Amino acid sequence: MTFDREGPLSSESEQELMRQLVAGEEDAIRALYTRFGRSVYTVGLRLLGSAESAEELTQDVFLAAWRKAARFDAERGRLSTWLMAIAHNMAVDRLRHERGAGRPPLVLVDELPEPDPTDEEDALVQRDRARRALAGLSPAERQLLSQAYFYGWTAREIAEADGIPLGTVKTRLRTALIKLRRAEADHEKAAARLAKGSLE
Amino acid sequence: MTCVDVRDRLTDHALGLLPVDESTDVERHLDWCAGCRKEASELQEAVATVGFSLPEAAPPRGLEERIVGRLVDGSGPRSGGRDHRLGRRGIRSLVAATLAAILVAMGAVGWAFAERHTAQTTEGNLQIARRLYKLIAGLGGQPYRVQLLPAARFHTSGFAVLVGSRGTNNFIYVEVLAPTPATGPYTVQVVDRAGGVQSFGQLAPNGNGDLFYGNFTSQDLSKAITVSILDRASDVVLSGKVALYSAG
Repeated sequence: MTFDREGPLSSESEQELMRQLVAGEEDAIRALYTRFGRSVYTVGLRLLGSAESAEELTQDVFLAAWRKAARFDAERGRLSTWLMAIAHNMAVDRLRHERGAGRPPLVLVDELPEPDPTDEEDALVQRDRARRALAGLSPAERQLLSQAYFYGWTAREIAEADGIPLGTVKTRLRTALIKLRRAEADHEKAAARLAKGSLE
Repeated sequence: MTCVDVRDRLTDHALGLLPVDESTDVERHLDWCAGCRKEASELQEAVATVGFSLPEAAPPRGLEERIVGRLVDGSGPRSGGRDHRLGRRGIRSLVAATLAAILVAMGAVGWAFAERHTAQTTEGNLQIARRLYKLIAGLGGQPYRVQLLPAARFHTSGFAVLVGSRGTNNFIYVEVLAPTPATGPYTVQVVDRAGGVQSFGQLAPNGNGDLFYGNFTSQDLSKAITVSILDRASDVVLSGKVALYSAG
């Protein structure tokens, strides 16, 4: 089985891709990198602050994906979510590990390199959808999510730093994530309706 | 952990902010609780949305090739940058350790370990290499080696030796430095070309502060492609690809 470089993969295709990854198939490794290499590298650059750290992280994330591939279950979630969770968790681990020794400066969004003009349409659509979902959050929710996602602060650390009750921080973070998920789900339903309409 | 305990932690879990022990407990609960698993999955999708909202940066040229090379070649050390994961003792001499492993298989445990620790010179390795091939010939199988590298949050290293044959002389030997953080007990898992997963027994201390496992099996190990060491939460602590062993 070969894999398209663009377009969504069915859960069966995702499972097959991971089965081939376990087997060390070069095509599967390249397919995975083509689809997610940029997103993983971007998370590394944004959280760790240097191209060198981002490259190291990207290599380690793909190695971790290969090691854990046998346990990937498409019925439990999408491949993109699974891989981005590995990337974010590994980046946060490093952030928290390095915090005591002086954390590297964050790369501001404006400082990120411009995307390749040939950026695939799928990635642009996904990014636009994600940004719209984030725009639906209140400023307080966005700030909390930013502290947790980009700085690796726990709810307790945020509560102490901002002088907000721990329960309030937890509730707001959870609400923010649920809002994001609902917005994504609404977009998916709308896209599915559009696709169905275009077929009829 | 109850569902209430787990749900209280799912946000931090999705954001990768839970301490290791709590994360392990949550993962265990999610393995059997469909309700909490659904919520965890949705929260994780939401977290991934934040990552996907970022304007994409272009990775350096050659990164894809380095990743492909690292995985296809059996996950060697990371190219470029520092690599601090191999532990202070580093990856031991595979040749000497491999030989010791086969000697253990022949029932010469004490002698083999003593031999390994005094066989660090090239001449010593060569001498034992000759013995190894004699022993493998006696087993009648094809030897394979596996360099085990740690998952990101672990500090450890190790190796495995497999002898694959169609008879009952398939043999597996694994030895690793005791991982930190300690999340044992650790079990050995082998994946074959067909995607079949075979679990073996637990690693045990060998008296040198290392952990090992060795046994004969009727499973055909000549089709094995990866060997992994899993901890009590079934997380991969070390893993490596199976490669043909050669005397060199």
